[in-house]
Amino acid sequence: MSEIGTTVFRKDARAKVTGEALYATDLFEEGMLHGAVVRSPVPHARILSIDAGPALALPGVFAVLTSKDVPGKNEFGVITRDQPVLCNDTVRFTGDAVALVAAETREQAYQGAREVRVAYDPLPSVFDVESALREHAPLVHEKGNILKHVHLEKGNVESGFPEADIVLSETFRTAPGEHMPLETEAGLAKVSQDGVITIWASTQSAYRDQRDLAHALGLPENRIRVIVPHVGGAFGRKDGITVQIYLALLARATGRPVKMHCPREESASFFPKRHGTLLKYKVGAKRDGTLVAAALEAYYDTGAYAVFGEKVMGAGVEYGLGGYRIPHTQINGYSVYTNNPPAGAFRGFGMPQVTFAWESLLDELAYRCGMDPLEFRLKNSADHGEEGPLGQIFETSTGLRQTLEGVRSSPLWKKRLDLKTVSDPFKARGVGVASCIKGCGLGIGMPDFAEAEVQILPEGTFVARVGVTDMGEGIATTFCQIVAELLGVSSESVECIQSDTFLNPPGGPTAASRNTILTGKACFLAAEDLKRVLCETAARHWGGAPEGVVLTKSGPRMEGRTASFSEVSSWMVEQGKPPGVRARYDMPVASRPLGYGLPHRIYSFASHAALVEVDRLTGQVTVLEVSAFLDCGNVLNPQGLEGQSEGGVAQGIGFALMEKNVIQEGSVLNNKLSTYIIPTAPDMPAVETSAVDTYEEAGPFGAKGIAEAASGSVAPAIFNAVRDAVGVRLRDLPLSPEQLVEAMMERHES
Amino acid sequence: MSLEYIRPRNVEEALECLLSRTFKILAGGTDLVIQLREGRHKDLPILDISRLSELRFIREKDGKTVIGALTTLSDLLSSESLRRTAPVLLAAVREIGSVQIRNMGTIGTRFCQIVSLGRKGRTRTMPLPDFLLGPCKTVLESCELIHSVSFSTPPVYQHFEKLGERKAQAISIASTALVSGFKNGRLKGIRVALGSVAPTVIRAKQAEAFLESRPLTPDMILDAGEMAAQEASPISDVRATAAYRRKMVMAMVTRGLWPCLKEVGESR
Repeated sequence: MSEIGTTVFRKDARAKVTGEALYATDLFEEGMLHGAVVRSPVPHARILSIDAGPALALPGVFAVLTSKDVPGKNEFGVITRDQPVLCNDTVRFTGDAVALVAAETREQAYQGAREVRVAYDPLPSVFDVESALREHAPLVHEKGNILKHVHLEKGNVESGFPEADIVLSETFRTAPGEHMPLETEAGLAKVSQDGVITIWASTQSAYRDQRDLAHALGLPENRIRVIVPHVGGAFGRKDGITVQIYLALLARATGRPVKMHCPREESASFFPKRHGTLLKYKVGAKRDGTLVAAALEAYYDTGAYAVFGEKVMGAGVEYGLGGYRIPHTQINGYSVYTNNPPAGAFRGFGMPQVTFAWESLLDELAYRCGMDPLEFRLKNSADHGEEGPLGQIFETSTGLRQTLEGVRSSPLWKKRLDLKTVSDPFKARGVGVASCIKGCGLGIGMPDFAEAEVQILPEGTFVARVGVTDMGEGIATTFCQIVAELLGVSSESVECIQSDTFLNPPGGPTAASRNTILTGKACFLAAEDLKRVLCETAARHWGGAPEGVVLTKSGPRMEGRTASFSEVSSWMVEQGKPPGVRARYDMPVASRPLGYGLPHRIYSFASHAALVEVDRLTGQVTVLEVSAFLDCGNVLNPQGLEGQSEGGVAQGIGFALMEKNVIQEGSVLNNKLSTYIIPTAPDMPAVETSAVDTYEEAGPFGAKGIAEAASGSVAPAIFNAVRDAVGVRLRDLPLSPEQLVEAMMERHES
Repeated sequence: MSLEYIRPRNVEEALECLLSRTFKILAGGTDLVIQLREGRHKDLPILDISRLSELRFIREKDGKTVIGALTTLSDLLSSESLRRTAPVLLAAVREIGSVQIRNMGTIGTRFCQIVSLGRKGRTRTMPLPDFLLGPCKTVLESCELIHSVSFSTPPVYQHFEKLGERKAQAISIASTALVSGFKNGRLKGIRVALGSVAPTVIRAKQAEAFLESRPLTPDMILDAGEMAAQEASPISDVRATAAYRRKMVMAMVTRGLWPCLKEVGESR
């Protein structure tokens, strides 16, 4: 093994550093128009009329499209197609799309959008899940405000809770949040002479987009080609349709290429966010710290449209009680419509919210049992072969215990009592720990597979064609490493070509911590097969048995004879063989289905320890150190793992301490980088990342995905550290310094 | 988008332009360029004074520091003399924006006591509080330019604290600057300035007077913090509530004064 487990030079590094790499925002076509969206200024209303006249009279404005101009089905959505491409009679959130404008320049397009006159008749609105669930609440959709209710039970909580010596009930809230990828929603569409519409888009899901585009345009999928250029970050935001359908409609209607590039304020106001949640927990334990029963009522505000709503809530249900042994459990999850901007996928997919609440509550329970919070978790963590809190069996690699043991052996945890000492009278320090669980893949019931094609080129180098997208995390480099390892060559002689729905095999979305396992394994299988073909080709050329052929770095060798890969490539042509082979890998499915697409078969786990400093005067919290212990199976690329881990910590700190969409009557008030606060370099602590020793049989070379777990337990570790520092626990996320100051004063006074 | 843009060669020429028409003035551009992007000032021509080196200087004379209006924030940070005489100013400057912003942004009117304004053929000089009228409002007339800002060397004890929503590039929730000397166990020449808790930067004059009135004690510090908090008139916005801002004035004044307990002891 030379490629696997080593940090290799990132394939995209040079192009990105020099600026050669093209993003959707960089694309340019001769004669292209620019698109803009006419958006509703009100949260809920009937559309009375739309007058495009004033816009069309402006210089440069080329076309205005409304719902009448959507040739196929005027709807999209990942699971439930409840979102109109362009609203026909009703708008359901401030920012809902009503019309499209194409103009010669971007300024003219946005000017045109401001001049389209739309008359609205306002309807009553709801902006929080509690109001939305009240009797006679205004209905966001005719079918009612509950998009989905999930109910799961194991054992019997009625008899379970009385068995407990200590029972805690707490309510937690988490705020909606913004992904804030560096690159906003963008793309370009062009209709070619044969009628094929090509859309270059910043997306995580080229193949699903192709399907949704065909649905809205009323065209067969083979008329739609989606190509993904370099993507400037996504974090779930671009897992699905953003501007793709708008682009295709405008290009088709105008006959000219059309580009869109959303300004930051539009991006941060109107595209799907992280779900805000209301989480009601009850948990009971024996005096010795053994968990007996737990119940969760989880409400996820999906906003005006489903996007991924039912699945995100389903994930909250699946991860809401962690990876612990609990005999009696009951979970009710609700995905609820409101007139807020829609919520969708966001790294962790509903997990970080429940993990914050659950791991805070467990911490409190440990205190009440008089136990060390780490030992409390170790006592209750489920191992391989055991039953999880939903009744699922942990039937694959299960590293929760190892991640906790990792924390126990870390310098941060061992020295935690010394680290609490601080000389400044206005400061206090504390150390906290938390864990999380995240499934790899989409879950039962959704087609979850990936294909890859590995080819040899005439020059003797190799290409891996995949259907997924590197969003900046570096997965393309890892695919090259996998192929190189199997063929015995250096990853420098392997290129990875990503999402193009006409040229590459399908791969599903770049999401759900699924790509290392799925596309990685497909690359593994295809490369293994190509290796066989290469050996057979050489054997046939030389007149021997394939078993006698050995692949070396420079090419095949057999009994003193050697050839270059370039030569083998030409022999393959002579022998009538195609230059590449394809393989497909399907995500293994859990052997005990629970309904609602639950559970997963493969889980990743993580535990984080955090050292924080609390300013007693201002309530401000600084994270000083984080130790991350990740159950990611065998590590393929250490630098890739560090990137995921440190990025996960940064996002976790933002989630815990800063990030919050301030939404008033459905309008996002903080939609700029100056007002929506994300961490910057001085907010980042030192991060120590360690992978625990696990091996996932399903994944390539024993690996599994870690992108989401790497962020999931950061926030509760910080809240638990604050509790350790000042004896106060807050239940609203992000942590409000104002609340903390008040809570500290209350504690001081009592 | 098109705009009219004039770049005068010197201050004389700039002032002549200002007499003839109304302009938006581009100094560092850190605010103006954002406003232009938002579609504001559409009909106004731009007068770019950013390269007028006559207004970019830091001079020290007779115990006074004079800083030209176009001196960038980064210029201030690299000034040896300011590092010696006014670290409190540099501590505040360090909290503004990012390196890129500080390279472009100018001192303008931000921190100093006396402001000199120039119009063609005439200059006027006034204390900063008279110059500032409210948020983004000053007495500057459309035919005038800020020439410079000046201040006497502040006393030895200097403290600055800014509270933001993160550690860098954060708009302030509240800020406090303190300078003081010490004499016979008392504070001498104490100045308490509060930012982001009133329509303009203000001084907590009652707290100042109280602090000089008798020998410093821990209880006095707490009372002074309370007084300063009452002198503030904060608002609620997306960053913080008015109530929190008021509390933070007390918190920051307390923190800023605390080390003085030791210093006054040594001055007895």
